[in-house]
Amino acid sequence: MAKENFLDSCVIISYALYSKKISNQVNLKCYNFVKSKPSKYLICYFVIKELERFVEKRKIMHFEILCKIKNPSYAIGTSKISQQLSRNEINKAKQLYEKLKNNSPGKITEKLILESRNLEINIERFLKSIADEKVVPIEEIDRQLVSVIRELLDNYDDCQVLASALLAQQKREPFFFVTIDKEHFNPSAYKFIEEEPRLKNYKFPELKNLLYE
Amino acid sequence: MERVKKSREKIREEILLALNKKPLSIQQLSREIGSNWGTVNELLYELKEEGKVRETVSTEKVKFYQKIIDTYYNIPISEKQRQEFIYLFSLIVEEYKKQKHRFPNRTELAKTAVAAIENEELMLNLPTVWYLYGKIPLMVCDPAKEYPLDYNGENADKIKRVVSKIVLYHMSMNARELKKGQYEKYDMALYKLKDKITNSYKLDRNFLGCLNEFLINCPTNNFPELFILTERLVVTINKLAAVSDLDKYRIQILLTFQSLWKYIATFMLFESLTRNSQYSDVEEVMKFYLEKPLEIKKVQAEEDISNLESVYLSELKDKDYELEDEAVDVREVLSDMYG
Repeated sequence: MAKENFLDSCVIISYALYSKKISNQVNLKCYNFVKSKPSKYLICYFVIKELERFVEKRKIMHFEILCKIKNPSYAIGTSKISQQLSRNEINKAKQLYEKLKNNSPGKITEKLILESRNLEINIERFLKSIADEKVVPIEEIDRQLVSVIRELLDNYDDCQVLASALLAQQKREPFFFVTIDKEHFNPSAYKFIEEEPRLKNYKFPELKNLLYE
Repeated sequence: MERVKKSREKIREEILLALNKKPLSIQQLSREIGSNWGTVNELLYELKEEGKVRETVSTEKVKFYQKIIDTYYNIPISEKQRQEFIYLFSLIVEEYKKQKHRFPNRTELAKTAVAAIENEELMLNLPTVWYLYGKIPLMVCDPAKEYPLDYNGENADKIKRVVSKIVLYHMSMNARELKKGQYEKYDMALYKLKDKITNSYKLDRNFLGCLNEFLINCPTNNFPELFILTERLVVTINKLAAVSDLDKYRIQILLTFQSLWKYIATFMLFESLTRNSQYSDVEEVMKFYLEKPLEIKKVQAEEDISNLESVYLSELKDKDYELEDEAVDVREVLSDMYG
């Protein structure tokens, strides 16, 4: 029987961002992988939370763009709420404003809303019809395990996802940990974590980084 | 100097007078009126039972008391302002009876009062605010109430003359037209769009366009929660339109929008009120009068939007939904965000 797949949030987001009208190889890879459905898809509650957060941050980016449309002297990324955005997200909001600024405010809003609608539909469709099983409630994530991983990984959210994957793996047949994160979950970084002596009692899922396939 | 013992009745009066300006704690009241903490505490309990005061903000250690008055959210006005409001309302009711041979309805009474307050000849110092249906007097007006006509301010005759002219001017307009006229006069796009949306008979492309326009006009200053929640509703309705027929859920959609509008309108009240120098202490206005109502309305709107989201989810099918051409340039910028 084919191994089950535990999906990282970036795979689902990339799948949701795919459109045949845009050429993006990574998104295409994720879309094809998700659609191929080689076996059962597992998703942890922390990833669900990350997806919700992703959608919410989109709204903050839109807020920043509309503030700039209403007041061209406004600097994107200076509101209190924009502190929740990463530098990359603020830069994307700036790029988006530059690309759209010659449209009427009504047109800009329409474009932003239609894009969000498609993205959210794709994510929600995944959660409703494609994901097979939700595992590891957030309150069950082992804090100690997270803090060990934290010493090896500089992204706290990734630590929680990996901790969830490890906890799920202890109770199941070996599965794939599917990701496209080239910074924290590339093959050598993953091997480095696997070799951590304090994690030697944990069965690790096999890494499937779609960027390296 | 000999200290005269005040009667309980006198202390009650003094408490109510002190609370005219703003909510106070027992300690602050006790200091303000020079009575001991225990007596003030006891009398506040009595006044609370009689429905004359209420607790507003409470922390573990301190309770603040507010006088219950006939203004929106018990926001204080001076006694002089109260008398002028009452006189104004009574004159309008009388003029409607005289000129139109009927009582005004609530909207007519409120809009006529605002027109009088803003009349340059009168220069009345009475607070008005933007709320659910446009600009209104801060004191709640009720045409069914009997307002005494016994005002003896020096401008009484002038007010009477102006009110008579305004009612005559409003003669041919119904409440809806008065409301619309006010939105036009102040160029309140948000209110005009709110009316368009709530009066939509068919939830078609135009309706979605109005929602987009509404989102653009949504207040953004220092209060991003309003925008974020509005966008959540606008996207939810758009998603529902992609997976189902909106008209099938018309009533629920419009009720959800109205629930959101109550939240936005309460913010509009806050914003317009604090532009008035009498209420310029923004933090105090928020803390004592509007923080709780805003929170309650936000929670209600979130609840209603969540219900609508669950309707959309029940309609969502397992099929590909293609990105609309209009949105391709946005996706192009964002498509490599996580790759």
